Amino acid sequence: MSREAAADAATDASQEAAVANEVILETEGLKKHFDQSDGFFDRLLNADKSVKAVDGVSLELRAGETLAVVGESGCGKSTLGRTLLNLHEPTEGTVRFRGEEIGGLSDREMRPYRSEIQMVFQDPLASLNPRQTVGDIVTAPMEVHGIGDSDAERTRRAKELLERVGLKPSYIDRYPGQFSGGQQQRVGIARALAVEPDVIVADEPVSALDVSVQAQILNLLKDLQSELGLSLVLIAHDLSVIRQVASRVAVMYLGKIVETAPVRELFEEPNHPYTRSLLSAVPRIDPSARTDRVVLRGTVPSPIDPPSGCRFHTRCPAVIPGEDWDGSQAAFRRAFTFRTRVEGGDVDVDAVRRQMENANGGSAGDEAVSERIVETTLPGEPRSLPDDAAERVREAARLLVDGDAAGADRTLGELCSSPCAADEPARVDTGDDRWAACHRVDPEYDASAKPMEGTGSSG
Amino acid sequence: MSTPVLSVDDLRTQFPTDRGVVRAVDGVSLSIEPGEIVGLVGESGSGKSVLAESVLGIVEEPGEIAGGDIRFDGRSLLEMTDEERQSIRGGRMSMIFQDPMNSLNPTLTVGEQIAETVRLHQDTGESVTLSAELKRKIVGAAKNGEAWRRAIEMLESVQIPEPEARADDFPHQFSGGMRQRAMIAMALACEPDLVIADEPTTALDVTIQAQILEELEELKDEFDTAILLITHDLAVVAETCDRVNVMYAGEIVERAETRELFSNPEHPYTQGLIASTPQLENPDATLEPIEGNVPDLIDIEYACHFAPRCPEAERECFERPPEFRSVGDDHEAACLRRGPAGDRL
Repeated sequence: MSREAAADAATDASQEAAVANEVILETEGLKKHFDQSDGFFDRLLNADKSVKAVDGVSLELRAGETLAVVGESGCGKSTLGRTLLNLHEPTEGTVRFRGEEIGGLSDREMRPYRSEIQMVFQDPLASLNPRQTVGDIVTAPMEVHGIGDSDAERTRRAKELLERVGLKPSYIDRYPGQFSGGQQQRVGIARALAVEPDVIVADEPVSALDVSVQAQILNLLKDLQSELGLSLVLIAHDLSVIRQVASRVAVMYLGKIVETAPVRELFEEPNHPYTRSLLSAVPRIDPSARTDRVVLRGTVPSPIDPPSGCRFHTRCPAVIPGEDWDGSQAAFRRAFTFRTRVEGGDVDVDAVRRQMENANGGSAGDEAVSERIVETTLPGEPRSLPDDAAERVREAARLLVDGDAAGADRTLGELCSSPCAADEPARVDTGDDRWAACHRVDPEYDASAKPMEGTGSSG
Repeated sequence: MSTPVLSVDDLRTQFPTDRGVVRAVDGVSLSIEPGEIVGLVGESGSGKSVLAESVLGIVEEPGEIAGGDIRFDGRSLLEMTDEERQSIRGGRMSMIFQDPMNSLNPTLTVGEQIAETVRLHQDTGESVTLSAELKRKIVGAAKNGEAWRRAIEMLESVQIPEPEARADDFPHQFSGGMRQRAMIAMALACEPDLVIADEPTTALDVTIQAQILEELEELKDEFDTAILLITHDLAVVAETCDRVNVMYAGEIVERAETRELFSNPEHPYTQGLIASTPQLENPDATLEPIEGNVPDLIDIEYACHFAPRCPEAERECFERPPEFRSVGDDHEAACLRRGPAGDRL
């Protein structure tokens, strides 16, 4: 970012800056792993078969801000939210509320903090007891935390809260089932506000709602935040929603934060290739706003055995070619996808052979089978690779057909070495109050020699 | 213009309940030409999915089509026998639903399901008798036939890597995006004239959604298939459709070519919907929600269904049903407050 732009952003943020410095909730090296092993033998044989839902997250929530956590499904953002509230006990690392460690506290020890940190859930109806009236739902947390001197006092406060979230105070005797989705979410918000929390963690608070109602709830959250000075963690997959309400954004991929930045900077100038891909995939109403789309191929890898180095390297359009690669970066990406698929055990030689024999009758020769494997596994044509690389790809396919999977892996590993697969990227400050974890922004890796080409979909 | 692949004419689909009749689709007309993607956009409760079910002939009891007509390639679907309808459905007309897990058979391999569709609807010379099907299911898929070859080909064309190996997988072994692709492969295996896609990408991440939409468009070009895309997402419609119908509380309120609709939305509901949609590039605009909620469709007493939420409604809007009026080039809105100056309220 240029100095002028930074100065501009600083003036923009100056209003909030006064309060924004105080860190209210903070995680350091936070991990939450879920054990997946089925029994004793599993544990004996598979040393680590856990789902690494959150795998080393350091984040801070500052007073009065809305911090959005965004990512695809399965990236661990909801688990992160629940771990922040100590609804999941952290496997490693810390969660601190105003400097005090709360990760792993027992229910009893946690109680004083429960009134400080509240949660709003995605499915409002599922999170409200259908047999309780709205009044009971909103007054119950007050009773638990000793707020209000009498039932009458609590009821009065509940009515005030209902009004504050845009519901009629007279609704206090109704049941959740009598409300629309948007109204139920308002009840959920009123309940969260009942104990006067400092922090609200909202997990996809509007994704179950219709567009016209979504806007009502988003506006309500915005208003409440500025009136009550709440600090919000907003967990969402919808970037348009985040753009609307967040002050800062953390982008999450496979259990790790890959980039954080103030909202405007993140959307106008994303640093991490994953952030760029996510942004470009959002459909736009306004045709002039559409960008050249970076279409990500493949799906998010399993969090049980995440990729080495940078976790995004298996799908990253900007993956950095190793020093020995003498072709283009785009060609490297294609060859690398071939490597990932072969290493992932996606290629089933017998199935290919069977299929070819069935289709043509008679037997299929090894050469023909390996040709077919290259054809369906390598994105694009082999001749789009440097000659030498195309030959190595064919060689790997032949090794596979011969049953030498390790040999194929080795050949491809030599062909497609990349710092992205070898080293985990460090956090690099990329501007005022922002960082990204990507070798491309790290001056230590001179990636400029192999710039990323044509962002359009290739292959 | 050629014969539309699908034309729906003044369709009325109703559900009798204890509290009265729910008019889920209340006089809807639309048509789709070959090779065209037509969007049907609306919120939950607008009746868009019931419209799809009506076309497919799968309206759940006690719902019934109480009036109007649905013609496929010029022939009334409502007058056909069950056998005739059955032979069209899955063959010349197929569907893609929001949740592929509910529409794929969990006990059959993905390849076998696609092959089965092909065998049923295209003459591959393979037996489709019950005993032949049972044998295939028990002994294993017949992998030497034309149908199986076609299944692999389709999986490849929707970009499933290693189609030969993945064809032997069961649906649960696929990821969400791959399942949706398998369903698209199945829907397109018989080169249908019409695909009805009901929220095909709603359950998917944006990155996967972008892949799927791109593939749908490519496949449309390749096979000249007409697609009715039903969704609540304005941006998805804006990016993929040729024409758009906006539906509200059982009625179509506005229709136009896509670019025209989004640059000059006319109906107050469409305007409200766009104003309440957060947009990436325009973060400073405050969202303007539409007040109130989608109405209960039981015995709506007012003439324009949107009137109670409409910021521009006059008394007459509650009394006189709005007819379609021209509000631009090939662009119509059903609103008394729009249209030529003389007619406008």
